[in-house]
Amino acid sequence: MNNNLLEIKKLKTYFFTAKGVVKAVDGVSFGLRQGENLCLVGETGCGKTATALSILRLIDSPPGRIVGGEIWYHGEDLLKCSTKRLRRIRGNRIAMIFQDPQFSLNPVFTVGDQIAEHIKLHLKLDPEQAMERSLYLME
Amino acid sequence: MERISRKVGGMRNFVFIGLVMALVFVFLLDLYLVAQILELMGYFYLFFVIVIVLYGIYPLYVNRRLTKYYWDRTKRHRLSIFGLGFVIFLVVTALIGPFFTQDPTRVNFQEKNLPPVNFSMQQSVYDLKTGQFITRETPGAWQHPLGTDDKGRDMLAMLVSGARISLQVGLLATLLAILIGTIMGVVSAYLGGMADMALMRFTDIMMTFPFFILLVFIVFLFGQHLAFIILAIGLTGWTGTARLVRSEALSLRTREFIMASKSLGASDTRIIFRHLIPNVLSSVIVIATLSIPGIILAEAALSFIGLGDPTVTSWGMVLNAGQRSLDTAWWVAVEPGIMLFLTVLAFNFLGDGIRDAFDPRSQV
Amino acid sequence: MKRGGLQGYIIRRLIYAVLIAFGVVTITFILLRVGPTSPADKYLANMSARTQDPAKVVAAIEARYGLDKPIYEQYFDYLVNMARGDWGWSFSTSLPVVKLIQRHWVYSFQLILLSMLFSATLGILIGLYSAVKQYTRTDYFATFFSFIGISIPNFWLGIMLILVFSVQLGWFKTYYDTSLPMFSLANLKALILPVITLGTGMMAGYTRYARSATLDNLRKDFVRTARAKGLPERVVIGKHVFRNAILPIITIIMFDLSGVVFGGAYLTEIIFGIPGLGRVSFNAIFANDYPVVVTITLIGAMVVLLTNLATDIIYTWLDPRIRYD
Repeated sequence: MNNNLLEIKKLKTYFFTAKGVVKAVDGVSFGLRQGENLCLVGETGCGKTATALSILRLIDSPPGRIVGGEIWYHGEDLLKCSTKRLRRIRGNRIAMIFQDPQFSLNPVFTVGDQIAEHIKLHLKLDPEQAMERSLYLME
Repeated sequence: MERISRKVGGMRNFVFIGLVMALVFVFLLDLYLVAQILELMGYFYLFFVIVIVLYGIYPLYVNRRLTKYYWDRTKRHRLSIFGLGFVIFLVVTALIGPFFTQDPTRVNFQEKNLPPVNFSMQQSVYDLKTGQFITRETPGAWQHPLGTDDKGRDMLAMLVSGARISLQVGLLATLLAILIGTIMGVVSAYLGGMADMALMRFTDIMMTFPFFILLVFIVFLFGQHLAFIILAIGLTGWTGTARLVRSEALSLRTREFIMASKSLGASDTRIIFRHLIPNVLSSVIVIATLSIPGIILAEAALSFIGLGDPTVTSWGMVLNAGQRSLDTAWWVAVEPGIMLFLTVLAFNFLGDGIRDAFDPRSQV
Repeated sequence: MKRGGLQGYIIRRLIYAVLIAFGVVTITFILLRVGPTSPADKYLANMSARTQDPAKVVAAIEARYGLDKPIYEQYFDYLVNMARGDWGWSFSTSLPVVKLIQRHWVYSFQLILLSMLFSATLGILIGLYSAVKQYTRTDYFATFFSFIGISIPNFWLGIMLILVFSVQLGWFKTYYDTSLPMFSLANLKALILPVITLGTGMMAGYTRYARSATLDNLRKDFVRTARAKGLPERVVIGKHVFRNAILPIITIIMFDLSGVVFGGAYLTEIIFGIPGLGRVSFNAIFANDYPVVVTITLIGAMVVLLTNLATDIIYTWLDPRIRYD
């Protein structure tokens, strides 16, 4: 095992639609070291978001599926670990920031609430503290 | 003539208005002459036929490719084909059935409470010889395949008659409601501004009345003839359609082809008839098919509580008789209910299938 | 600024409701006067037949009801009477209509309330579950049964239930017993069949709406964000999806009131003999007691109006987006 924080090996994520199979990610491999910044650049539709979503297993399962590859993080293959373990990693160790806040945030809750929810979940603060923290973060 | 037909949005509309005026003329003649030319229901039928042929069959025939496309999509929904099949069966029964069955109103107390074939019922009958009640096993007979009610009327005949009534009311009242609703919706959406507000407020007011309660109220006030009932249902059931059509038309109004038409100098009527209505038509067809079951049930409910037309035998009326003889003749309540249930189910299946067929987003 | 928006909305909504109320009352008045006068005539005939001097009674009634005054005066009197609570006299029961309503509205209320609770809770839960487990057997069953449920004529269902459970099995009485105290278990038991009758159709509809509303939301991006935060699935569905799905569901449930619920309740009361307002109106129709029929029709409309108003206001609380309209 090399000293990569995150290691993607031959990741394959396909989408099975009524009109055929879309091979969004087809054998992608890369590694990321601690302290390193890595940018995936490409045209629209080349599979950047699909790759990122695959890391956290956030692919929408009826049409899409991760059909092959390995994703190593801290000595674990994220594609094979339990959902419970995955949930502890999501938002905590590996976090994702989505493109479009108009759609990626829940419209019926305030932004403060949603950030506080995140904080409460992983830092185990009580509601007031979490809200304070959330407001502080937004400044 | 060319100018007039252009004003109303096309030859077809011109023909339609002409035919309707002819119909009204005959109707007025009927009213004031002694000899009756057509009974009231006849006018409804003719009107219905005119609308269906001009706006249903003719467009379908002209756009054969489109029709085939929609038909293919509908075919894939197996359930909706069952629905269609049942509806056709019902229509055929309603049309020719009465010629093969007995008179549903013929009362015959000798033969009352006969069970259907293959069933038999224990009945206690007053025996004239011994002067006591004895229990006797009464089997069903082929003479009355579905049994008889507590007055000896043949169930099969009554059910066939009921099919006729339900279909008549279902189709005609729906047609009326859809017509009113579509026109309200399209005109309201197109005119916009004050007219739109006024029409929508009126629709809101009508929607505030609970449908069935308003229906009962109107039938109570105006009478129980079948034609009135159809009219009443049509005049109370249009609000949902109006709302839906209006929102569809609103979204169409801002589309380019409408603005293009306007800039070319087309009159309001022309735009409404030539452009808006045909585009809303597919939704209207779906709404219509899905409204029919509700309307059939409304008529059945009216007859059930006794507010139907007492001169015709409808399923609701049979059900009413059935409730009274639950312990002596349970089939009288079960049979019309099954028919109602199957009919509603069939139209629901059909409507669902049609809706999926017309929805461009669904992959059938 | 925020408060002005919300308050302004509520005030506007209230004014609108009052206008609609006016419209409803006016339309009822028009229907009454436009209709063939037979119910009024029969009513007059009935009233006057019970006295010695019919002509005098007819004149007195005409004066009392203002039938000899010009139309706009009649309309004005009508409005004033409605507002004052003078809703007429029911000759078939020898009571002022107000008293009649007072005696009977509870029965309708309990039936409708119980049915709505029953069908809304079950319907939403089943619809939610069905959407989350889409394409599984449970989903297909639920969809199938909801299709059946909305197709069964509810008055037939009532009769079938009576046939099976009262006549054949004898578990329930065939007729509602009014002597039972309202908040007793026996009363609840007697209401089981009626509630099932009224509630099944409603529940089937609610299941469909809940399922489609949930489905619409399950694919949305914010659900993915919630999962990405590491939230357990039950919170994702139970909090995020639910809060978004519940809005259209409540709208539909509340606005469906004027269709399925009241019509269904009317029929259910008649079938089971529950002496609610529907039954009272029904009896009044056949006795040609038209003040009662008119009043109950109006009450139906007013209840719908109030519920719509309440729903709109509750909506502003549930959906924060509305306030800033």
